[in-house]
Amino acid sequence: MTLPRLLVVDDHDMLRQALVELLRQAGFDIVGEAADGADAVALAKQLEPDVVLMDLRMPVLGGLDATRLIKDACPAIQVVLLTAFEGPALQQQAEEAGCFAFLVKGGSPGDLRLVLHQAVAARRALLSRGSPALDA
Amino acid sequence: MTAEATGRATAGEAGLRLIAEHLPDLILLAFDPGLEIWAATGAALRARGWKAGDFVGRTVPEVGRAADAAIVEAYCLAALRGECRRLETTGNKDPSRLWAQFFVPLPDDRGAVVGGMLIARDITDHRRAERQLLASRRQLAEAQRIAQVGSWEWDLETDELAFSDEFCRILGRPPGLRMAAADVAELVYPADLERVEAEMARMRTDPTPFAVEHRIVRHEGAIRTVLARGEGVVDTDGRVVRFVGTDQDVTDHRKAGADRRRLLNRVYEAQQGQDRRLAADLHDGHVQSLAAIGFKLEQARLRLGASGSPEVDELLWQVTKDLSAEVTSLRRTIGRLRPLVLVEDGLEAALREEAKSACNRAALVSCEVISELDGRLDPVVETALFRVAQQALANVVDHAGATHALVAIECSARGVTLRVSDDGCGFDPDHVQVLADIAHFGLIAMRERVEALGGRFQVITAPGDGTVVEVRLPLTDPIERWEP
Repeated sequence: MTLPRLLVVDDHDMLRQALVELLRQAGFDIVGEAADGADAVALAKQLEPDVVLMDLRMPVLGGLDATRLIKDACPAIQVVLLTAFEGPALQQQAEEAGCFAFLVKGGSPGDLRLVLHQAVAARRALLSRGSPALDA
Repeated sequence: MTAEATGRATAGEAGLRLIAEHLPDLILLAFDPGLEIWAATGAALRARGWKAGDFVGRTVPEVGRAADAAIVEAYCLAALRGECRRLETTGNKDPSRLWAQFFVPLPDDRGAVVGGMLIARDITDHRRAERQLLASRRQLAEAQRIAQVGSWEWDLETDELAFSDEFCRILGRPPGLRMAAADVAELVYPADLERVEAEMARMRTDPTPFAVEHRIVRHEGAIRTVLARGEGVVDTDGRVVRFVGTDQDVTDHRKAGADRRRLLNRVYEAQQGQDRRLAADLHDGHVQSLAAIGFKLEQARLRLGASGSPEVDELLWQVTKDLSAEVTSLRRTIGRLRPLVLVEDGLEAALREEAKSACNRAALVSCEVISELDGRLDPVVETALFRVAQQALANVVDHAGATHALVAIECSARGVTLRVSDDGCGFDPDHVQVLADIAHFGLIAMRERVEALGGRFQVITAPGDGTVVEVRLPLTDPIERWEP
C-alpha cells in the first residue's frame, strides 16, 4: 500500500511548512506544495495526488475556484478545505465546489489527520471502481 | 336771510340729521357761503355732551383749533367752489382726540353749490387700532424673520396665493408677492413639484392640517428647503374656501443634520476600515501563526511517540487543545469584526447565521428570519442593519429570557425595515433612556448608527410583553437629498 499522497496549498509559508512537517510525521507523502490556487491547479493536474489540502483565501486564485477547476479536471482527487473562516454559507459553497470536507484552522490536528485519511480512502475507492469518468 | 338765500337747504336738513345721528363718532356741520354754521348734528356731538348751540351761528374756522383756522377757512372756500378737501387734526376741546374732517360742497336741487358741509369723524380709536395692528404686523414680521418662517394664504375662490414679507424674503422676491396657484411651479424645485401639486390638489377639498417638506428655487436660482404647514378654512357648507399656513426655511437645520450624519458615517466608515484591517491582520498573521504552532506541537507530540513521557505527551496534548480553543476564539473575534458571510453573501445570509448563533447561545426554541430582500442593498445599509440586528439578538440572548425570536426584513419603494422581536420579559419603556445609558445594551450605538443614515430607530416594549427593535432606513441617500 503506497503512502497517502498529499498536495498542501496555503499562502502562509510558516503554516504550510508546519502542515507539511506534521503530515509527513503522520505518515503522508507530501508530493507538492503551492502558495496560490493557480499553482495548486497546475500541480494537481501534474502530480495527481490523492488529496489536496486547500486554503480558502489566497492570491491569484482562491481555494473554492481552484477546487472547481481541480474537480473538473480530475474528479477523483479529493479536496479538503482548511480555512480560518467558518459559517454555514461558506460550508455550503465548499460543498457546491466539490470539496470532500471543510475544516477550520486551529481545530484538532487529530481530526485533520482523520479527515485526510477518509479523503484518501474515498479517492482510492473511486479509482478502484474504475469509473471511466474519473481522472480522464 | 331766507333759507334759500343762505344755501340752507332745509329740505335736506332732516336727512342729514338722520344720517349723522346714526353714524357713531360723526359730527356734521353745515355752513353757508359766509362759512357760518347753520346746522350742527351727529352722534359724536351728543356723546360728548356738546350742543348744537355751541356751533350754530359761529363760523367754521372759529370752532376748530386756532392753529388750523387758516387751512380750515381755505378748505371751506374750496368746498364752496365745489371741491372736496380732507384734513386730519387734533380736537380743539379735547386735544387727545384725533379728527378726520371732510369739507364737501352742499348743492341745491339744481346742483348749484349753495353752501358747504364739514363732516368730522373721531378716528382716535381707529388710528390707535391701526397703530396696534401695524405694531402687531411688525412684531409678526420680526418673529417670522427671526424664525425664518413665512406665512401664506391661498384663497380658493380667486385661486390666488398671497405671501408674507418673510416668505417673499425666503423666496428671494420683493415683498407683497401674490400669484395664481397655477404659477406655484415657478417656486418649487422641479423634482418636488409633483409631490407639492398632489398635496395642493388634495387641499382643494380636504381642510385637514398638513405638513410637507420640499425644496424651493429662489429668484436668483439658489435652492432652499422649506417645511410647509397649514390647514383649511371651511364655510358654513363645509366647503374649503381658503388655506392658511406657514413655510419655515429649514435648509440650515437640514444641512446641519446632514453634516452630522456625514460625520457619523465617516466615523463608522473609519471604524469599519479599522475593523477590516484588524480582522485581516488577525486572520493573515496571528490565526495562521497560532495554527502553525498548533501543528508543530502536534508534530512534537507525534515525534515523542510511545517512547516519550506520558506526562509530556499529556502536557503537549493539553497545550494543543488550549491553543485550538484560543484560535477558535480569535476566529470568532474576526467574524465579529468583519463578518465574511455579510461581505460575500449579503444581509439575509448573515442574519440567518446570526439567528442560528443566537439559538445556540440562548434557550431559544426558534429564531426565525423572514426576509423580503431581493438582491443586495448598499453595503453601508447592509452593515448598519446587520450590526443593529446583531446587537438586538445579543440583547435577546443576554437579557430577554425569550423562547422565540423573529428577525424580519420588509422592503418598500421608500426604504427597508428591520424588526427584531422576541417574546421575552420586555421592560418598562419609560426606562428605555436608563437602559440606553447602560453601554452594554447598545441602544445608543444602534440609534446613532441608524440616524446617521437618515433612518428611524425605536424600541417597542412593555414588561412581560416582549420587545421589538424596529429600524427604518431610507433607500435614497439622505445626505444627497439635501444637497441638490
